Amino acid sequence: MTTAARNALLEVRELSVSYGDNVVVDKLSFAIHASEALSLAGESGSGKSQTALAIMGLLPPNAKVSGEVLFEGRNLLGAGNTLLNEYRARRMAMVFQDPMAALNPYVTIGNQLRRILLNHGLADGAEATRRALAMLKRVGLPDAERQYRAYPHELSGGMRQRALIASALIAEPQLLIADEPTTALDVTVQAQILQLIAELRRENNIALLLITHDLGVVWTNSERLMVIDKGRLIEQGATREVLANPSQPRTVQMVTAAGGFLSASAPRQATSPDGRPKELLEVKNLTVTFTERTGGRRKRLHAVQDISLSIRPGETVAIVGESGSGKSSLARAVVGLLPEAAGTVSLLGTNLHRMVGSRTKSIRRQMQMVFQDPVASLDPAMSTGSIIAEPLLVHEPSMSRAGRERAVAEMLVRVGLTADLKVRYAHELSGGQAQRVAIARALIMKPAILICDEAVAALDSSVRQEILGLLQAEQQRSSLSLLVITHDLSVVQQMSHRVMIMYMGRLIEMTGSHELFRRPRHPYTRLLLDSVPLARRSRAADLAAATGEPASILNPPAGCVFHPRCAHMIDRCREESPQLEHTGTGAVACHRAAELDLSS
Amino acid sequence: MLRYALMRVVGAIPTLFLVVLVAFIMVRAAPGGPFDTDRVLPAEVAANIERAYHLDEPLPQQFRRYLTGVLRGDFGPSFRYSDYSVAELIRGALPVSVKLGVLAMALALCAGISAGLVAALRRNTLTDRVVSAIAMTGVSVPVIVIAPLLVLFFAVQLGWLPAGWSSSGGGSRWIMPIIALALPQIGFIARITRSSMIEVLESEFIRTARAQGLATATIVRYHAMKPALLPLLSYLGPAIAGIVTGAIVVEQIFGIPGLGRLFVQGAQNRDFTLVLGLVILYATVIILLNLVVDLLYGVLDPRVRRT
Repeated sequence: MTTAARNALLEVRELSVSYGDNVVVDKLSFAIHASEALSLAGESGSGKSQTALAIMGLLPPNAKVSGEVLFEGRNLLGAGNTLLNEYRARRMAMVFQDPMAALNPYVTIGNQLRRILLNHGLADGAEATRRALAMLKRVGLPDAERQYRAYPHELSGGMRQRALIASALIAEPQLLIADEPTTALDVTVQAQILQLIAELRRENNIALLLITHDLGVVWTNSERLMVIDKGRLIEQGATREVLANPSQPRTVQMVTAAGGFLSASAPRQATSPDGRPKELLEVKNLTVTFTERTGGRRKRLHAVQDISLSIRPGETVAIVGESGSGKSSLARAVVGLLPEAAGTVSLLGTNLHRMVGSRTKSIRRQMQMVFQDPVASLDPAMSTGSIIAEPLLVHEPSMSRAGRERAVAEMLVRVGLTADLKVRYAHELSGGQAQRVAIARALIMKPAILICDEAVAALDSSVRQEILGLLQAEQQRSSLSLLVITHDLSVVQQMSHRVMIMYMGRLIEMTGSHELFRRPRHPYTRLLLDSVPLARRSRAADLAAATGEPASILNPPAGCVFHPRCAHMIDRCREESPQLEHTGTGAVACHRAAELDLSS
Repeated sequence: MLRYALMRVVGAIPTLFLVVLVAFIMVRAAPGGPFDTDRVLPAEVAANIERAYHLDEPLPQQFRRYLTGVLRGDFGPSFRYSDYSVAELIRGALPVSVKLGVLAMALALCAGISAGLVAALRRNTLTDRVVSAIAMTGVSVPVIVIAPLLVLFFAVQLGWLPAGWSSSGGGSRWIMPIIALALPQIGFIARITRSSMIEVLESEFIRTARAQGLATATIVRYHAMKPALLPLLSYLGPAIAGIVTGAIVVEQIFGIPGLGRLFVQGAQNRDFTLVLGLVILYATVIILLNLVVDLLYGVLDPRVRRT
């Protein structure tokens, strides 16, 4: 045993996990020393979460394990619950990806924390209550007394993750295993949670095993980085070195996906074929109002407020916003899926009916949509071939059966699939394959505009690049217009000519892609940019402004909706809602746009 | 919540009206009448009787007359037991049936939940298989088969329990009817509890609790029990209906003087008012208990509490 290994807090030796013949972790070895942070990065299915579960002894009974998991020299792999429970919570603790699912919906936050202390005999009665409350305060829960009595569903996503972190740290462990702790959160909230974990680690000398698919989050949070693929270690070293000079192609892909836009340049503005720009799609004063019932009272919820936009042939416009910003409602209203929409949508100068069912067939085929969850958006009872062929039956009824089959086969090849995939069903496809099928189904109509609602958000970084590449190739080929709905700035950088930023249903900034990254004009845009961890390394500025989460859209703040979170807020912002002011290349809705310089 | 309860009660009125209407039509559509006997009555006498009970009026008018009476709380006289009103007959039989139903329900809940929990916690062991097999038997074998078998075994063969009902008999006369009535419900409840507990134990928040180093007993008691038992609430409605209808058979088999037996006799005798009165009672009980179950859901599940 080497000295290093002897001093290690946790040492994993030749860990293998398999299910039947399927080996998901293959002889993985590593060590973590006291108060050190190690990142374990990999794409989905790489075995990173399985490794974490193996360490905690939480693998399902049908998993076969071999190797050793030594905590301060004691092997815990295969140990019974009695021994494991002496280590869990008190020496090593775990934070999971989805705090909504990981917290018990039937027990108050406070009681979930208290129970840990009581069960381990660390405190009793009033003392347990006091410590649980203190812990909630330490993880930065505002109004902790109230949250103590709240149920998980009453908290926002970020608050839930804080509560989950509190539950992991309440018994003062020496090692924290965080499995994708910020993946389920919005980007601005993600940055706050990462900062919180870093602070708590420093204060309490806790070692961290950070498990993630997003190389962006490892930057500020770990000294060492291990990249695994198919259960095997492919690259490791000091975090900064690996990120600066990744040697494996898989690592390069992951670095690009995490924040490669710093070096990449935005696509050039497309010109329409005949040289003069002509609007393809125009949306004017679109408003979507839902009526929500809470406690018997009706409340009007403005999901989208008075938004106008236009797209030219061959152009890509990105709509960026966090969850609840109204970006998906906007997309669905444009396609004609929302009866609650008001305003006008016109295609090549023709005003469209509000609902898709009342639009003419030729209009309908011009506008196609691709959704976030590819497998769920395909009919599980239909084969791939018939899914792609179905639109032809409707829109080209005169086409012969052989003609349809030829068209489907061609389309499959065009989206990068093999023709023999046409007999498969959605559940037999990988996420990337299913999304290609969804794109094929849309493209077979030869649409003028494709609306992609978070079309790559559920995909691994390598697959994501391929799908984005496919969409760009299609755009080159037929001057297809793209309306890209996303929360991911790297998608914006790679794909779009123009960007619109939405916050709580309002358009707050509209600008060219180049401008966005170089010279954001709205403080919220700046916050979004700063929330991408890899982007922040070039800026000394810390996330001073990144406090709070978007207010409930049912109770929007008076004045500027962003003012409670804004670092540049003045009195006027509290009272007066800023109008969208058009400037040379774009537009911004901020009282202080003229005086603020937010450029990097 | 009070407003919600009130709206539900108001919403139940059309349902009740429909139930009464359909029952009224069906009893009348059945061949025969309350005063048919082997002897042929002189036409004049028959006409007199029919006039006395307003059976000579057109059906819509009879229905209107009946409904007005019900609204005033008058369920009319029994056609067969001429000395009694329907209300008096029901009042006499009600306590026995309520006691039988409540005890059977209590037994079904206790036994069903315990069996289901044990099976879930010892999943795929011999215990689990035995419990599941018994539950499946309870679910699939009807009361009409179980009750005579119980009598044959415990009363005739072993002689431990009385075979039927005796007005003087003590507590032992209740045992077999309660078991016979509860058995199918025990089966359903055990199966629901088992599958829901297994589902809860596989959920992510239980994995969190395990990661927190909580003892298995603590996890079951504090984290798994409530979510595992909630689905039972929505089964309580059908369970109550099952007990009510099961009681009709059980009371008949064991000769218990309860509402069920009254109902069967009423139907056989074409005692129109008695049958209708019982239908209204059953429907009201089932609607009200379902309402109570729905309100309980709101109390127990924090996620639906606010709305």
